Amino acid sequence: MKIVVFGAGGFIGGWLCEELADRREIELVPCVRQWSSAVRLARRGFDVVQVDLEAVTDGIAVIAGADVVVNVSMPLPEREPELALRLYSACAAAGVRKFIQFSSMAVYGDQTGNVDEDTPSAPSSDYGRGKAEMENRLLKGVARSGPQLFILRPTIVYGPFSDSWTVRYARRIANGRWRSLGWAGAGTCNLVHGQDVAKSVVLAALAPQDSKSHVLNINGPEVVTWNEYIDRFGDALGVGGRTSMNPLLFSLTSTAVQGLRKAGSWVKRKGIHRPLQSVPALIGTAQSVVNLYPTPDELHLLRQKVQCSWERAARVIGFNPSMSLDEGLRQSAEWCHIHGVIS
Amino acid sequence: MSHNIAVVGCGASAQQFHLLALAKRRHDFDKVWVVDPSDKARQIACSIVRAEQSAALADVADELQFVIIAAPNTHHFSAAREALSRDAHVLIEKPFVIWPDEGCELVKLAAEHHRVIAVNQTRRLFPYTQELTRRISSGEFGALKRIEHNEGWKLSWPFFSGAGFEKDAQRTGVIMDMGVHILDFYQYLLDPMWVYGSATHDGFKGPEGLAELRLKANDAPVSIRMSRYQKQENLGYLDFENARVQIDIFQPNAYSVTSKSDGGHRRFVVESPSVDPAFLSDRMLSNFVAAATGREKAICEAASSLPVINILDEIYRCAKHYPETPGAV
Repeated sequence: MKIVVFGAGGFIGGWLCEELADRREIELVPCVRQWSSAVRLARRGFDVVQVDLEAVTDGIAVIAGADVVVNVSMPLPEREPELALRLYSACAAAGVRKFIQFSSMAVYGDQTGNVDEDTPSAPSSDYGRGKAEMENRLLKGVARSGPQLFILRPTIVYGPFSDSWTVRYARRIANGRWRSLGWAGAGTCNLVHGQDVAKSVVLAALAPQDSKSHVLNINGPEVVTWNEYIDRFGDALGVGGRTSMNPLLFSLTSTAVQGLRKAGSWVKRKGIHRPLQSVPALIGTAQSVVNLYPTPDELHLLRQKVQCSWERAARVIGFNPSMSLDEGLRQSAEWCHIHGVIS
Repeated sequence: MSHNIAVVGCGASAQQFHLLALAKRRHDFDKVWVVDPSDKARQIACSIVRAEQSAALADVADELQFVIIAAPNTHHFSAAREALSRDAHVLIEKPFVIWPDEGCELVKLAAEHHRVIAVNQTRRLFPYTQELTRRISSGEFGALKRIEHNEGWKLSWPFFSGAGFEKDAQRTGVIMDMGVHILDFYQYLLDPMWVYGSATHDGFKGPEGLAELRLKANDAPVSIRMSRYQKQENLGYLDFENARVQIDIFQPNAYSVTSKSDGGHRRFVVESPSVDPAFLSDRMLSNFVAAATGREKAICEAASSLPVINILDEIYRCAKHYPETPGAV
């Protein structure tokens, strides 16, 4: 079975390729947009191919003879719907049997309570809107004779190599001595490990083929709050001297820091940051503060009480997340130390 | 006498450094040749500097006085040998070779032809490098006790080709890429006797992205971690008998010294017209040409990089891998 992975240089793409690497029955073709993102793949001796989906206009040679195409690439939200549909169409023309497209739980936006695949999308961010629009266009554009479509919506994907939910939080816990955020972190943290997400792709690829399209939530085995995640990850990292934050002060500071973040972006955009480079301590301090506190969207996520059901994924492809949070955090912490994420 | 120059390899490092410097000094040369098998790479090169094009060095019929080699690492040796055999002075992108015997052969060949062979080790041109070299050699800080150096960031270099990521690519990972910069810097600063201790990296079946080295430089322990995945501290600490010196990779004109006798801490800023890559590549080209014409000493002559190539070779030969658990490293 030939599987072509677009976006293989990213965090989930890396996990997927490593998961597929040892399966003799699979011929893997990992594709990256730029060579610099091939580091994780190249170390394991994969034959990496460089393909920029934006630059491809007349067919995508690498998908010839492919049975399954997985698209984990992360274009700009406004470009994602067109690029995903274009890739699906190319797969249809090439006779690909299955097309597995990555979306996100961000399509649910600010909704609370239990959500499943029948819950209507209500995205509240550009990222979520791009994903929702991409899903709509793909589901409408599915060709009768084209590949079977799977749309996977992973939740908070953590684990080694996760910049957003492992590296950033490890640094925040270490630098800010976070233990918990009180009510500011009382929302549900729908954690799923990168390896479990990779396994869901393999299951979708190997599942018996039919003509039905499937949208599937992919979530982890345990339901915890963000506070629990932060506390347990801090323990796993071995960070001492942690304290519970005052949630009101934390929220107000995060809001104030957003002003600093915007000012920094403006200064950089205008190109007037160069004189400041002669004061590295000032820049360093500003960057540390900005990195320590969440953005308004993230602040909202930390309070949002929403739980994504993965029952349909269990039913349709036999998905059963196996990485316990304790093991996932232990592995993440060990990785953070080896990689110098925290000293 | 004409001054013809060829740039062999017109990928990212040529586009970001050498061709910019050549464009600035175009009037110093008669003919400039850009040599690359890729039409696209040559076209980009010609958009940076007015030049003749050739797919191979052998097809350049003109006499060449200077050759800059910025091709993938594995081509450095053959291209440099060809250039030296044509009696050209040679400036090679770092690492100048990947195997010690190739390095020795090139240095020998250059000496036989009375030609300069230099390496683009830009950190030797950092303002603090020159000043620290002077202060260390004066004995001001006392004997070296320890070096600790952590460097890394998410790789974002605009590679033109995937040569360094190919399945059979040899010695193209972070040790040869970033490590050669780091070790050459300390080599230039201290001229030490290197002794291998241990090395661990994640190049299980291909180029590594993470590495930890334990070496000795004149009996002083040296600990280096480098990463192409994650931002590191990007600082180097040199612990001497009398003082602790701290350098910042991204502040090439400033360093700090903490006295061990009174704990006094002082930051030194070294005057420099610029520390931009464009300035450094211009300075490199200018020194190379001046050295070739006997007006200056080559700051980055290849012979002085041989100890680094030797210790890198030992590192690669003796290194262990991290445990090969998917994702865990």
